Amino acid sequence: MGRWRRDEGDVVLLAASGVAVMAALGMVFLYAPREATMGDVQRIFYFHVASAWVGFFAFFVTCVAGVGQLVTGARRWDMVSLSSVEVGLTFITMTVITGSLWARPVWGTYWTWEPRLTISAVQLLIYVAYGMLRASVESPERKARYGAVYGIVAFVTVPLSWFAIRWWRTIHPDILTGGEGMAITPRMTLTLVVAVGAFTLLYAAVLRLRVSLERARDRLTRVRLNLERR
Amino acid sequence: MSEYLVGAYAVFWGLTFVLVFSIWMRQRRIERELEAMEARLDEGAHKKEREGART
Repeated sequence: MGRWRRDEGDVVLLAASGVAVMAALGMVFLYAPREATMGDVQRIFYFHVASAWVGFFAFFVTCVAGVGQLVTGARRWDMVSLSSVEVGLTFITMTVITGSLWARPVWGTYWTWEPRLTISAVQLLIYVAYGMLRASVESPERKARYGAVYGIVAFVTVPLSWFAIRWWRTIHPDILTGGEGMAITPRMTLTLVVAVGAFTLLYAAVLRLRVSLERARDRLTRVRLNLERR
Repeated sequence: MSEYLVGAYAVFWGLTFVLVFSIWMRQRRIERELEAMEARLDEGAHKKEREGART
């Protein structure tokens, strides 16, 4: 008692994601070739794209859990929804910061208000507001319902961000084609795939931990109510 | 090696650590609160038992 009790699944998943991230890191620095135009700074690309993928996926999970919550009213969907927003926000923050650090030597500036970056900034603020909305509502049922609706509507920022570089004129490179000034080789593609897989595993591990925190909170509320009734 | 590259990977490790550590801290705080409350509940139950035995 009194210690953070993790079940075996949590430990296995955390360990597996740790190994996978280390393997991806090894590939980024030892296997992927040095990009001809940008040099070593292009190696930011692998973890930048992988963290963006996890951020988008986390918001997708929030959207699906929101639908589940509205349909069934079950608390477990709300737990997943809230937890996934927190994990997604961390990874999108990571994407924005690493993107800025990549942009500085390549574009000559940390930030520019082009479509993809602007949508990313707005998306970040929208999901920060998700937490603020929940904090401003007292009733747990209403908190869950409002959160679900907000999570579904906010998801529109994900396809908007994805298609921004195709719909509007932008300097942001397209990862599928490599874009201007970046030649993607098969080794780079494989490294990116491994990094995306490793980050997805890390997302699953952290999401599990975050959901178990919500479960512990519920248990605390139940015990507190029990104590008040006596 | 570029300082931007080092900075970007430091951001990754830093934010991952902050996220996992903050979950761990919150979980510990809840566990501690739970322990204290469960102890109070047990204490209350023992008190009732003792009172029942007296009457």
